[in-house]
Amino acid sequence: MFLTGDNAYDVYENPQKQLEIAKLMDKTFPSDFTYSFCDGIIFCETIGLEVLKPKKDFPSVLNHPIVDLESLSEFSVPDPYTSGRMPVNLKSLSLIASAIDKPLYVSIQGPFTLAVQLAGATHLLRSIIKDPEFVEALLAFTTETVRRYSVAAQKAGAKFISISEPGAVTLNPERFDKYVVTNVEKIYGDLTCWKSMHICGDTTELLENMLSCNIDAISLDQIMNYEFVKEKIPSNVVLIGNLDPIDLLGRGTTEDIRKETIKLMKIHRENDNYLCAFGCNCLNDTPVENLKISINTGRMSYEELDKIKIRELI
Amino acid sequence: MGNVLKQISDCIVNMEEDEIESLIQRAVKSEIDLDSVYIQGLKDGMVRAIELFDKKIYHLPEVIVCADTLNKGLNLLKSFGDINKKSKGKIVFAVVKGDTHEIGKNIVKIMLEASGYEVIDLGVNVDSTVIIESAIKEEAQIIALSSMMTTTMIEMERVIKELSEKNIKYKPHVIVGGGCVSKKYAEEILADGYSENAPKAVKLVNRLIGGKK
Repeated sequence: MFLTGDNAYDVYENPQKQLEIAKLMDKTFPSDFTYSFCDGIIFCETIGLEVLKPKKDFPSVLNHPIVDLESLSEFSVPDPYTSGRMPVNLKSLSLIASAIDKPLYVSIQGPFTLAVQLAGATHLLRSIIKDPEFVEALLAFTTETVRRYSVAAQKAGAKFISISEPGAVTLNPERFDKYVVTNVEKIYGDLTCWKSMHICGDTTELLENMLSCNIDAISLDQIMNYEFVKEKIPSNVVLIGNLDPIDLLGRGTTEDIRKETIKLMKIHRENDNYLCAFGCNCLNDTPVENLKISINTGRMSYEELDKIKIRELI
Repeated sequence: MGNVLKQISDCIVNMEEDEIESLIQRAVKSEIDLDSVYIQGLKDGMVRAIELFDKKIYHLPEVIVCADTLNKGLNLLKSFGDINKKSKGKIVFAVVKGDTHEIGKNIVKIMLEASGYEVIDLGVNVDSTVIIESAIKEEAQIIALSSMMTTTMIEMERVIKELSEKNIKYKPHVIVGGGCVSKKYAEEILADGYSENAPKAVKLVNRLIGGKK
């Protein structure tokens, strides 16, 4: 947004603008993938929730109207080809995928996190005990919503779909299996593209459960210690992350960023299944130079990396 | 007397929301004073529930339902007269402007209340002016701010800056937390404290106002 001065809906509602931004992003911050503009609100907006739309920020939901089976019955699962802004977004994905010669990465809100948005986090957690039938029905609704859209996104050209489940960090491992693993597997099962899962926050206790899903990659928050985490990642799963997008990228110096990026890459020097990336979304006002140094450093060759001695980073 | 108070406490721990009102009525009928019903019954149960959470026997859903049970009992108890809750201090709590994530605030609120603090909950997406005016009006010792989004945490800095410009005798401490907030960020914006989770938030408040009004 700060690169072009557009607000979120200027981009969401205009596939040509999406393509323009994707090209500009690719030119300014070249990475291994191409991206559409972050659209975490699309499900809630299409389902009909009230949305806060700041001029220079991402939208968020203002109400959580689905609180029981009766209120759930008033809503229907959106059709990605006809409902709300979904067809426009699919057109954007298709345009980007065909115009930029890199695999298209799409991040999609997971079914549990969507349920958190629809019912409210506190109410959903309360309902796990007080109204489990409602929770099951709501998750069936959100799983089908996410599944249909994910399949459509793949058909539109997505080559890498990341299911983002930040709301699930509130669950203990047993409930994570019951409410998250079971449902995301229904989505992953219908996808043939690369599949990944991202959860923000401390996922130490959930890591094994996340890895039990049929995923090709896993992405964790910057608070996770990747030296510890890498030992737990199977060789056929790519570990993505986890540069700190706030204190480091948002507020650090370019030299700090270069050093921390190199340190992280050296930790994973012997691992073929590592992809250097950010731990989570960046701040809107992250300096362009900070992002550039991070990306350029993260893409250096092993030859260049090996020439740098650890003592130079202290 | 002890028996019904223990039953009230157990009722909170066991999340028996349908039973709590009849137990409160029994206690009041037995002429147990309202303060004892609150302290030895309701509050005791919530403290025990949080101990189970600390031990990872209970999780967030259990804590929320225990708090629901407590609040149902407390609402009935209040209808019988004033309760001297002996608040350890007053906290104005809000999720900052632009952010609508309530879970962190709600959990911290439950634990602060169980620890004896009075929490004025302003809700989510709250403007800095409303937060500051409420804190001044309520004579709060602490303003607690939550943000789960990298894009809205800047609002915390706004509250701190606007508060510092106010000409008031006793300025409340401002503490911050939330998924995207770090200790470093809290120091940068000159917050009086930062906490990464709910139990630590209670310890932080204890340290800052030492249980004094």
